[in-house]
Amino acid sequence: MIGDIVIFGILILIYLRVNRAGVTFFAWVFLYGLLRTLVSFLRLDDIVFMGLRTAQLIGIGAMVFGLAGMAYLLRIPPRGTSKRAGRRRIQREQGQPTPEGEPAT
Amino acid sequence: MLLSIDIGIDPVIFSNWGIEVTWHGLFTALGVIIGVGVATAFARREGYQEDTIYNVALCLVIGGIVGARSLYVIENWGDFKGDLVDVVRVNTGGISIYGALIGGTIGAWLYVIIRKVPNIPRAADIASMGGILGMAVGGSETSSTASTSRATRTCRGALSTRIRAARASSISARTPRRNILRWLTR
Repeated sequence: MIGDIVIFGILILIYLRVNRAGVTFFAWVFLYGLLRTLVSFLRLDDIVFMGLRTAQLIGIGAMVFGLAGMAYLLRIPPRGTSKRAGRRRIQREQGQPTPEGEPAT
Repeated sequence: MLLSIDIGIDPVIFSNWGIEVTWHGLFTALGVIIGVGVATAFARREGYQEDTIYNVALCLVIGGIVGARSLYVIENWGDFKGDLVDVVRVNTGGISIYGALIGGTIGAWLYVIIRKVPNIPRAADIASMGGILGMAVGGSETSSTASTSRATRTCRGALSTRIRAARASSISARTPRRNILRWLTR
């Protein structure tokens, strides 16, 4: 539970500071995979492969997937993904009126 | 045994008409409510329509339940070979948190693809934040060793009260994004 709340705090920081949609999701995949891989060393589940448990194998896969996703998203140039631009796009595509002072682009 | 913790709390809250209500089930449900609530708060601020938010949440939860049970059955196939009806008896226990994550992601993904929900990466960001908080409340121990951490759940009522208070407060949709953290933590 404490680990999950720490991850939640990190995700909020990433969400607020990293202006690239999708990075928070891949950060969650990576961080939760890391957490479960470490926590599983304390658990009594069956060892299935190379001294690792099923949850650890999936966790390592999740970490690789999360890192690859973050690296990909951070490498490609931004494409109008600022919070305000994203919100305008969502409102436009869902047929909502855009707020005054924020003309739809 | 070195790593086992004996907690003197009955896992069953009450039992009526053959239905057992357990602490584990209660906090799992609470986790779903809090996760969806937090994700909804963020999604509203991003401009998603209310219908879209709840439809995605519904698909995510259904996908999560199916995935959680499916992965558990796959991991413990030996127990189910004799009686396949046991596979759908979710009330007898046995779900996998990884299965819930994978199934929930697939369920939500299918909905946003089919309904062409805009800005899918941002929706995934929001769902991940709701998801991890929901897991903190009710999902982290949904495996065979769930009983080892029931004592940690005593402080969760305070957390849910705080989230409800945060949701109840009226925050303008134009609030600068830095205030989200202050809003969530006050």
